Amino acid sequence: MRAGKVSSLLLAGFLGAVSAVVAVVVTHLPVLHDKLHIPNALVECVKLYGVFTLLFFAVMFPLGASIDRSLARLHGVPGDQDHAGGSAPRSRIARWINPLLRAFDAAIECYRRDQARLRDELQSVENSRRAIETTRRHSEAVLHTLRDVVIVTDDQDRVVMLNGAAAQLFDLDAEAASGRPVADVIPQPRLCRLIHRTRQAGGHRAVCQDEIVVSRPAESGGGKAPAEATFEACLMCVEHGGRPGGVVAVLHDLTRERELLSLKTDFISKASHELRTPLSSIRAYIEMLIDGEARDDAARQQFYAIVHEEADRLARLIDNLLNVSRIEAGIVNVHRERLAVKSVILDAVHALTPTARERGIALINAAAGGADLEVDADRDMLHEVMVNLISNALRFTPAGGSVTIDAARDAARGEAVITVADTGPGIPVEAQQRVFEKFFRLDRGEARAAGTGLGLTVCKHIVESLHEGRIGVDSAPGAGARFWFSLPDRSQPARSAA
Amino acid sequence: MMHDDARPDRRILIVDDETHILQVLSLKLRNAGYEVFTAMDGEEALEVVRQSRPDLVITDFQMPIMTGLELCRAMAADPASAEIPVLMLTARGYSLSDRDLAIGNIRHVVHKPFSPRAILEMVRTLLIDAEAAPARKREDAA
Repeated sequence: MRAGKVSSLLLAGFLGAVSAVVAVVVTHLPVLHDKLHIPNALVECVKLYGVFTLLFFAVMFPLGASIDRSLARLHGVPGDQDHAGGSAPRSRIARWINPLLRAFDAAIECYRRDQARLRDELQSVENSRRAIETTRRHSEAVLHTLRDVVIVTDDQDRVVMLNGAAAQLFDLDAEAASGRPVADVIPQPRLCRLIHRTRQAGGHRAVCQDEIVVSRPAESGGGKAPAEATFEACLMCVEHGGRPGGVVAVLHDLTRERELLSLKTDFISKASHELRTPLSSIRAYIEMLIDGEARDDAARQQFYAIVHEEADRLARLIDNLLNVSRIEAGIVNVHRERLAVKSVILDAVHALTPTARERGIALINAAAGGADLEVDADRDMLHEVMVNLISNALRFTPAGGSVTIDAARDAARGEAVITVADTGPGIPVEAQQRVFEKFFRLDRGEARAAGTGLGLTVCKHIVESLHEGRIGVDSAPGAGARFWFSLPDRSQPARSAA
Repeated sequence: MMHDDARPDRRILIVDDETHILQVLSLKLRNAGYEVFTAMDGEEALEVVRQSRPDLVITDFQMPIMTGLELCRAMAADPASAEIPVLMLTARGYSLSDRDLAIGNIRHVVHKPFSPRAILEMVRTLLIDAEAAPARKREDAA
């Protein structure tokens, strides 16, 4: 068995020598070394291993025969007789072999350590690669979900990347555009010139800003004509090794912002006009009273009444302005509860009966004997809708006329429909769609002055935005107006169950 | 309340769709001794201008049917009314450009809320100026 081990060692020594020769050849032939991609540490280990085995081979070869003989003797003659004679050669061999074995162990241990280190390094490189890949995907997702248009070009003004918004705006295939000159891909000479100029100007962090107008492509199937959109363009040169490497252009659409700004300005302008109107009356009448322009007590009383009425109107207007803006901003709390439609109507009719009597108008509650409708709604808000609709009807109805409130079930839609019909002059067809707009006024003489221009807007917001209902008006000039609103009828399931 | 310098033959047209404004200005000017006509929109006002030949027009800017500016344009287009001075009342001063004001014979723009007292003062000054203007014209011609 020991003879076998020594023979194996000799064989290993021989193989080691061959490996060492190969390692030396590989190391000294750089072309071969580069092609095979053998780690330097491995080559060093093989060389070390080779040197040791060469030494071993050189020493062991001349002694091979005697070692073999000694080992054969050791193996072949067991027992106490040869014990004393055999111990001397065995210890001599051990003296030779043990250091060599220790050297082998050291070399193998060194190799293992190098291998483990390389494995760790490889793992670390793989982790970094995965992290970079994840970051790249995140960045791509961000770029492609941006509403802003992003165009990246290289040092030759060729497209490197276009995001989804860019492809949509310029109606092109982002993949196909990659690598092509930007001027050939993007039909915006002004933008292409900006990109070129930004690259030529160079300088990292130097941002070029400008406004450009782009024609949007017609929406497919929407039938919309191409529209012009204004973009704010921000361009930045990206440097590579101190030289201009390319340009990143970001285009931000200003169209919607400008529209909103215009709407806001218009709203403020109209609101301030509406606020000034009652304020003008209040100020003028007070000054008239101070200047003693009212000739008698009756005139003075009339002036006081006008000031009082206009102050009320101002307060109503401010309330409505706040209500509209709060509903539009979505900061209104709706306290829903099950309400009987009859009781809501009755409350509103009670509140406005004195006004109707004062103006000589009959206020008729036709819903009193009707169906027991129920809705889920905010009591105060529904009351406001009712009061606004009835007040409006009273304002436009001449003395001797009537305002009728009714409620009915629309079984087909599952809705409770409440109507307020007057015997006033009616609303022209072209104005019917606009009566719910902010500050839209019908030019109907004195009645116009008393309103705030927001009452119906508030009604529409309460019914449609906050209660999932519908609101509308039916009218024919000269035949009065019939305002109606409907809310989901909650009494229906109970009735069908019964 | 009759003021010494107000000649009763002076006629003033007030145009506004707000009844309170019409009422307050009418009273102020009538108390000052002027003859006052009223109209609630531009079209009605133009009719009064043609029939009654007022010496001065006070008009609101924003009115239904025909705005104050359109009324001024219509008045300027007719030689019979082109020289009538106009005092414009507005709740939206910023929407009147210099070009708008150059049209017609707009002498003053008064922003709401206004003082009836100040309006009366302006009316007096404008009427005195308007009276002096034809005399000046005659002198220039001579």
